[in-house]
Parts: sequence; C-alpha cells; structure tokens
Amino acid sequence: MNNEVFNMNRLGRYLMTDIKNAIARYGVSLLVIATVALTGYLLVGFFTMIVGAGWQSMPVAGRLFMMVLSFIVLTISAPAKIYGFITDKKEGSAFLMVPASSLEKTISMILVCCVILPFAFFAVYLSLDQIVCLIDAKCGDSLIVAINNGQNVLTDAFVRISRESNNIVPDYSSLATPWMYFDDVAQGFLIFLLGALIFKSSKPAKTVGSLILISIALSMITTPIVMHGAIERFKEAAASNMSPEEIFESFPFISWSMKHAVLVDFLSDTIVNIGLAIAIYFRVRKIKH
Amino acid sequence: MITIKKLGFSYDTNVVLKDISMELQEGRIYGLLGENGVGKTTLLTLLAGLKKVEDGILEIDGKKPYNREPSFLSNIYYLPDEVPAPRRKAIDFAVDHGQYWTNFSAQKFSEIMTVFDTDQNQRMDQMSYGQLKKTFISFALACNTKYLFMDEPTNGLDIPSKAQFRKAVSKYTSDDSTLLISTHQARDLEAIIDPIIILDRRDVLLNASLDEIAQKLYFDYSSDVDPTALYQEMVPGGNIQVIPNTTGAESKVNIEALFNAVLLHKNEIKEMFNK
Repeated sequence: MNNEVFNMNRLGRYLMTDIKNAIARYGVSLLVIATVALTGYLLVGFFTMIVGAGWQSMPVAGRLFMMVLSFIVLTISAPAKIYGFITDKKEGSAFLMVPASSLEKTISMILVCCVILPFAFFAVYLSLDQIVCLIDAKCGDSLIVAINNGQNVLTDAFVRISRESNNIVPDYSSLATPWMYFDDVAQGFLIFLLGALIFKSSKPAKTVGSLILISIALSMITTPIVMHGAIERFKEAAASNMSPEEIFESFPFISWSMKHAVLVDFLSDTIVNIGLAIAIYFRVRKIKH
Repeated sequence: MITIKKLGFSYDTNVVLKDISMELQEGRIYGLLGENGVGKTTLLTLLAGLKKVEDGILEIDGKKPYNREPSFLSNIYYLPDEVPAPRRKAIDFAVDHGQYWTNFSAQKFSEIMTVFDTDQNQRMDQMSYGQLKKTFISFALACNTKYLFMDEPTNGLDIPSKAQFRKAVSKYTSDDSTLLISTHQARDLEAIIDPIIILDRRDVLLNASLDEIAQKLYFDYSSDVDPTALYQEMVPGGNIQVIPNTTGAESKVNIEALFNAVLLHKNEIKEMFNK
C-alpha cells in the first residue's frame, strides 16, 4: 500500500506511542475500575464482619454483575479520557501534526480501545478475582469458572429450546461464541470513540443522548416496514387453523431473520462496526483546528 | 518553496484572509507581522495543514498541507502560541515524538534545553508556562524540519530567555530551513528575522528583505524632524523617523518603526516595493 497511507513499521511505532499516551491518560482509572473485584470483595467481607455475620464473600452472581458494570463504565469513559483531547485546539493540533497517516492513527486508536483496553481490563479483573478465590474458600467459583459454566448453560439452553420447539426456534448456540462477544464489545468502544471525536464537551453524555435519539428514529422508520400488514395477517392466522409453524412462515422477513439469526447478528454487527470505523477515520482525516 | 496564490479563508461570515499572494524562499527566517485579527495564526495553521484552504492555492514544495501526508508532516513543524502540557518528562516526550520526524536529534534537543537552562528531566505538566514554551521551542528546533512555523514563540518568555531564543534559532537552524515566525514583539526578533512580511486583513502590505527595505526606506535616528517622514516617533535622545530613501544612504532597519510606517501609508509603501 502507498507509503503515505499505510506503513506497518510506522503503525507499530505509532501504536507504541499511543499506548503510552493511553497509560498516561487512563492508566490509573483503568486500575481503579479493574480492581473493583478486589474492592468489592473486601467491602462485602468487612461489612459482613461488622454486622456480626463473620467474613463472607460476594456471591458469583453479584461479582458477575460488578464486572459487567465496571466494564460498562470502562466502555463509556475510556475513549473520551484517552482521545477526547483531539477536539481540543491545543492538544489536538499536536496530534494532527504527528507524521503518521490518518489511517495509521485510526487503526491505532481502534486497537487501543477495542483490543488492548478490554484485554487489560479482563486480565487484571479476572486475575484478581482468581487470586481472591484461591485464597478464600468461601468465595466459591472464580469468575473464570463461572463464565465457562455459564457459557455451557447458555449453549445447552439454546439447544434444548430449539429441540423442544420442534426447531421452530432455531439453535442459537453458535451465537454464544467469543467472536460474537467481541463484536458487541468493539461496537460499544467504537461508538464512544466516535462520540469522543465528534463532541467537544460532555462527550459520553452527548454520545448516550445521540444513541437514544438514533434508536428512536430508527424504530420509527423500521417498525412500520417490518410490521407492514402484520396485524391483518395475525387476525387471518387466528381465524384460520394455521399451525404455529405456518404462522411463523407467514412472516417471511421475521422467519428468515430468526432462522439465520447467527448470520444476521454477525452481519449487522460487522456492518455497523465497519461503518463506525470508517466514520472515525474520516473524522480523524477531516478534523480542523 | 511555499507558494500562496489568491488565498482566501473565513470563519463563517468573518473574512480573515482574502486574495493573499506571496512566495517564501528556502533558507530564510521570515518575520510575519500584522495587527490583531489580520489572520497571522490562521495563515500559519493553513500552512501546517490544520485548516483547509477555502479559496486559492497554498502549496509547500508542491504539496497541499491539508492532505497531511506523513512525508509532508515530517518536513514541517508548527509551534502554536499555546502549547499542551503532557504528563511526561520533557526528554521522554521529545524522544518518543521525535522518532516521527526523520531528522530529529535528541542530542540537539538536550543541547537547546541547556541553552534555555531548562531541566529536560522535569515533567512537562509541572513546568511553568515559560519552561514549557522553551521545551517546545527546543523540540521544534531539534526536529530539523525543512519548514518551521512559530506563532508568537517569545510570548511567555522572560528577558534572558528571549536572548536565549535568538541564540538558539541562529545556532540550531540549518541553512536550508525556512522559518516563518509570527510575532507582535518585533524587538524580540529584530536580530534574526529577514525578510519581513507585513500582513493586512486582505492584503500583503510588505514582503521584503532587510536589504530591500534599507534601500527604499531610510531610518533616521537624529533629533531633526524631517517633513517627508512617513513615520516619526519621539524616543529618549531624539527621534526615529522612517523616510523614503532617495539618496541611497545606509541605515539600520527598525522593525517597529517600519511596521507603523507601513500601517500609516499602506498604498504608498506597497507601490514603493512593487516597483
């Protein structure tokens, strides 16, 4: 590829600089968020001791909830804290002047947000939880074990539901793959990264606000299309002796989407993620100070 | 070479630059002067590719700055008036960022920091504004770029630092580098800038070397008032007068007096230098 657009060595060097920038701007915050596992464990233990119930550990469900909550906080806050400076005239000018291409800068930002940050978060969070559960027998299953078990339960449930519905509900077990999770994780970071590059202040709040408005607008547009004539067809189906399979098949778009849910989920997430990445690239390319 | 032809730029309805044309030759240190709001910073940011040219042509060695190609960016450095304060040691910042500029020299950075009497191991977010500015000036010079644009570089510097700045620019700028320094503090840079560009809101009033200026204007420091003076200012011990040089006499250009003379007699000076 043209050296002015992409150069692997330059990307490598830029990524290293970018990682240092991320550590300087968000390293401490990441550690605080990723040590919620330990903090929560200690708080629950001390609290139960104070109320006279002896040292107790937070149950697995509670720890899973804490992890998801911490990860949501990370997704919302990290892109704005690490890259929000780009819209600032003083710091953003310095960023634009660095002799790397817009594509390299974009790829580096995406790698930091979508790969390095989640990896660092889960590495610290799950390791701490694992250590706590190794030390304290009352802790029960560690989160790594619980997630693995949960994955098996989810897969079994998908298979069972599909079998019990005589395959009207397709087998969605392949939805629960690491790639599908990554797709969604990346989407969250990409959305808030784009928001950090577009809005000049209150970046996470404005991004959430925009998401709500976009969701409402999309629902208003797509619902009439998808549900066109649905009420009439429901009435016709109810009046006739159609089997559940026939009713399901009488809505071609919905039945096709449900049968190909894995493909639909993969395609929709991938298309949206590519769209977001392209939007981030053009924002970096066209930003002015 | 920097080529600017009929350049125009506006912020919404506020026209800042219109029909600006000039050429900047290599290996010279240009002083960019002008009143507040005439577009000096805008011109520098356009040259650095931080803004998109709306009208006309602006090219540096045939390249359009706004494309921000890596090879182009590695040949230029823009030092804004206000600089950020990264949470890093100055030397770490310089070495880490300098790697993108092909000719960056960490040794030169250290030397210039020494000239400025600034600790390169100090964290930049703990520096005073003057120290921070000196760090960025050191970095800008250490990048050894072909084109260096500085916006009010002496703002925030104390009196000794201004002298150190002049020394650093003279000593650490290579002969083929082109510098464009915007300033309101003409006296700070009097010894190093040549040629002088005086920008008006919609015009380039002057783009001439000190030799050309001295050939066409005589700077008189006597106490006798000359009725033909384009500009006259009383100073302790006499006057500074800017007089059309009809005799070919030699004099030392006083940039502040020149600037005031140009502003008072825009058309006359333009005609004089366009002949």
